[in-house]
Amino acid sequence: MQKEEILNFITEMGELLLENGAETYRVEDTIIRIFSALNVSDCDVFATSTGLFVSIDKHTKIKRIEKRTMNLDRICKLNEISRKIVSNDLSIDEAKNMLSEIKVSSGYSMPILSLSSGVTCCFFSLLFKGSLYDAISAFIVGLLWCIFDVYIGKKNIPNFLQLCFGGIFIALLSLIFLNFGLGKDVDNIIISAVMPLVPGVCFTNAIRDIFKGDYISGGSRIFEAIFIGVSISVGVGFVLMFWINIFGSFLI
Amino acid sequence: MQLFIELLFESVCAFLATISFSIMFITPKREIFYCGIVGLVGWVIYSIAFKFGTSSAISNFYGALAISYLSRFFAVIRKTPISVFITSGIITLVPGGGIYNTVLNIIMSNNQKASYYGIETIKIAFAIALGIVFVLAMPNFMFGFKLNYKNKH
Repeated sequence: MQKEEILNFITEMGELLLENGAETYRVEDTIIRIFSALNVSDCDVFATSTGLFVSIDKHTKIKRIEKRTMNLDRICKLNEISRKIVSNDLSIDEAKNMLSEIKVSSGYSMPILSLSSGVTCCFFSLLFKGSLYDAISAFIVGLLWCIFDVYIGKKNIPNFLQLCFGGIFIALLSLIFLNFGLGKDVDNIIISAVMPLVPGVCFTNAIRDIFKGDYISGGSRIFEAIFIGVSISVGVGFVLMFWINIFGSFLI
Repeated sequence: MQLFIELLFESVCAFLATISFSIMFITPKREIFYCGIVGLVGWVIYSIAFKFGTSSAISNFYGALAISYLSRFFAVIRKTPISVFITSGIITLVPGGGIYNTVLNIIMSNNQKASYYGIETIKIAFAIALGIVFVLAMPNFMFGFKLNYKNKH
């Protein structure tokens, strides 16, 4: 097998892993394992959450990771591939076909995603001791947010603004629901509706990267988590501030 | 009895919330149930600790310990990356309320309350981080399986 081919395959795999939200140590680990399974010598890999560098001999490939989403299904499938390659159950050509299959695989459909967003908010509202009405409005807010987020995600606007708009949308909708008598505790509705946006994943990945000694990507992920938190807060805070300044209290 | 019913209700909520949250991350269908279990156990441990008067940071620490231990356990027996379980499991503990209260009080210019909630949130975040790191630092044999690292990876 040509070294260049292996290099292309490996970078593609690493790129897919990073784009779908794998921690950097998993990416490096996977690539090193595949290298050793293929008996490639003189190779190395360096991954951060925004870039991937792989080299074999004189060949080097650099990939910039632009868009990062969370798709655990793809990570599972990629993990399966690497496991099979390591145990020699899969040739590189077969693996390549599987990679291109994974690339186009779509997750759950839009209605299911928005419904699950709504259900998440609803049960968090109950978990945080909200009333049934709070839960219902959290459900509607969460569901509408998901549709809104997909819509706004297509507009190609910066991440900060997307999250900010998400916060604005949620806070505004919650306040409207409160004033229509659906829900009694606006804090509860907003907190539970914001739950799907909260950077919990970023945070756990950051800790695990730092724990493995990868301070660059861990640090950048921590900043990402802080940044996400701040963006949402700015959006929510903006609405609350204006509402209080104009109407005096949450309830008109 | 009151406590028991409350816990039962909370665990059902936590279970369903974690399941639906895991769907948002496109978790494979066969792992969704286990994600729910992870979220449920994490919340119940947190809730019991909190109800018996442990401070909220320490309760979160216990919850995070349980979640990451269980995630690692499932990762081994289900031969799936640990991220699948830990990412959706940890969501029940994430201090969304703390962040919200901090921002709200900053806006209301209640600086004292804002800094109280801010510090509380940071404490919880550190507690969760510590909980995860503690379990990750455990050697493999503590998960009770003969599988070597290659299988678990």
